[in-house]
Amino acid sequence: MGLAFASDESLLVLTDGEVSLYRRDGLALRLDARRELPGPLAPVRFPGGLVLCPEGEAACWALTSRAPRSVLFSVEGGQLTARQEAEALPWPGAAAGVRVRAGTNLFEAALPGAAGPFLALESEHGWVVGADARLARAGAVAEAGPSEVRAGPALALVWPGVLAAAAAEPPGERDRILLLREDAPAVALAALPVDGAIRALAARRRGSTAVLAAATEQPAGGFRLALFELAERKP
Amino acid sequence: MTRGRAGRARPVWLAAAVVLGLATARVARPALGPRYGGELRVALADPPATLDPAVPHSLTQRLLSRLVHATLVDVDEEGRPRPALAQAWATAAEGREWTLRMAPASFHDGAPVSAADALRALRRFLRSDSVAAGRLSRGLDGGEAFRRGTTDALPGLGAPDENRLVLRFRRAGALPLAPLSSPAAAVVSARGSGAGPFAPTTPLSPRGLSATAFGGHVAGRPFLDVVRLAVVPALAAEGGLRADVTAGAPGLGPAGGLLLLLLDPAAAPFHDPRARRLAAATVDRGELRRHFLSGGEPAEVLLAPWLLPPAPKPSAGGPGRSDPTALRGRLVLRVASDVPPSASQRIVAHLAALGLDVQASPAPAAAALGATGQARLVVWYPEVAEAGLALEELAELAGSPAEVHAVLDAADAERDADRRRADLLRAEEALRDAHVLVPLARVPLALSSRPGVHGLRVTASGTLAAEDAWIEP
Repeated sequence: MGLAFASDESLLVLTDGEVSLYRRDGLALRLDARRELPGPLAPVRFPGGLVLCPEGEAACWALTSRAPRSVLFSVEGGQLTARQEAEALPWPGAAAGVRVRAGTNLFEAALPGAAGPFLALESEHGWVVGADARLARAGAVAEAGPSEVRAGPALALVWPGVLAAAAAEPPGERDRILLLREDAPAVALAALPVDGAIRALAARRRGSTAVLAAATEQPAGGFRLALFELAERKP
Repeated sequence: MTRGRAGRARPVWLAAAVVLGLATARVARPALGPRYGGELRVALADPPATLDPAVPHSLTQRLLSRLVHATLVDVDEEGRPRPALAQAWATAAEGREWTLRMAPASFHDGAPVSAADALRALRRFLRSDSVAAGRLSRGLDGGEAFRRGTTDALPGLGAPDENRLVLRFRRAGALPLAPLSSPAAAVVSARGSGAGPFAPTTPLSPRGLSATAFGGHVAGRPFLDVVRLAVVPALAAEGGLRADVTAGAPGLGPAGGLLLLLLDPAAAPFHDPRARRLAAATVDRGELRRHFLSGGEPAEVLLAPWLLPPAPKPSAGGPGRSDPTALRGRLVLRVASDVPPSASQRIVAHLAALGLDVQASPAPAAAALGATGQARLVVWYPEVAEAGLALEELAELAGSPAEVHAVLDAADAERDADRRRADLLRAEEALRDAHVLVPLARVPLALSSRPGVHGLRVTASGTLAAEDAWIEP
């Protein structure tokens, strides 16, 4: 499962074997397009996924642990078109990109100061969640020491200074999105309770507001997308 | 995209939220997890006998079989087949011909799983001592002669190509594929490798086995990296072993094991049906459950309700008017090693209260089930969790008369679910009324896991399924 905003209005959703493009109108979502990932798709008990939409490019990379390669989709006019495949998903700060550890939901990437594998990666400020659920920031480990903050398998930068992360809680029907201050170590500011288990997060900011998208796995099966509109508190 | 420095803290307000459902069918799982990685250490009492596919008669064998091997199909709670190494099937000739399509899968040795491997596995299975194999052989065209060994020809089984296996039956049956889920029907490569979720990395020894996650498993790599199975004969003395799963209360649910007293109708004192009825009718199952079986339930019938929903008023019955009020003589009671000691002591006390001079004789679980003797106390799980096959297994265990087998044969041919259930209930009642098999209680698997271990599942066949287990970081 992966999420990323391709633009203010476009949300890309990676689910089990397919990519969907949703158009956002305020807090409403409408499906524009859906494309299957090129196969063959391997059986994975708990697949992991990652979507990256580089700023200013009408295209997004998608990587799932069920497929052997990452795929570049163009996102134009409400359409999704597969353009290119690669061995790894290009990722800021990782010279060789990101790959999946075969058959798992874990990502491999050579990031400065952060040893993989990772449960989640955030592309703008280099936050990662290790396989041990520990939240860390690539390149910051040496100066800050290992973080004691733990997180689940989803991260998104809301604003510079505020990070959203899935909580690292053991089994339960509810989950929480943690809003963390980007200090070293990160400090919890607030928590948003959600039904189901958070599997992916994405954020899009415009000025002092931001939209946070969360994909949650439901207790009865299936996924839900939730959109949260966030605003900075004025002093 | 540029990286920026972390700014000052920005308190946030939640303004609004909406949700949208996505139609993706998956089973829900906990927030953090399942997690890939880690090692599960399991301490068990009974040493393993073999890694070859066979009918498992002990917890260790059942666990090993599930770890290392895979079968063509699994069965659901109603005995219907579910995909495993066979990913799909189709039927023809009015239900007499079944074609199974093989899933893309491989063995631990790297060889692909083919229909020829499945064919070889089923031929071996048909000549095994499995009750399910007996059922399959009676249905397959030419199966009985092949099982007896009078011919090697088996027209009821064929592999027209690498991906398809064809079974031809003499008549249409209710659940013809259910026997294929027996652990004894597991498919192995020409070199003997399994296709289960974990591949052995050490040879099987009396001390146990280590196995590592198999990336090529048909359902995907399991979550754990390694499972270590350590055999600890005297579990009480295992203080130094740090295990994640060990013998002990409250047990792992559901309570699917049948605590069963087997009375030999060919040996005194239970050669007299009245003596058997007295012993069966006077056991206080409620007290046994309350005081001596943590997590257990009283059992009035032979099969768990999820295998065969009982008739509205099942009754164990009471002693007859002509029954004796007391018994005399010496009785050796063989007690399987997986019977909770407190329960066996209670049963010994019950039989002694009836007037018998009881000597309890401990035995390994597999040996107790296969042994003969005046009386045996065992925890029984079906080889295949399907009501018809389970009752057939119990009928074999009890040496039941031909009439019971005839009713089970009728149930096997009955394709109407209600009429089949009525046949099975008749067979169950006939088995129970002979009082050779005395159901006492349903008990959970006598293992417990430490906090932080998730996803361990106990199957209706009494197997600990570790392929979906994971450990909190």
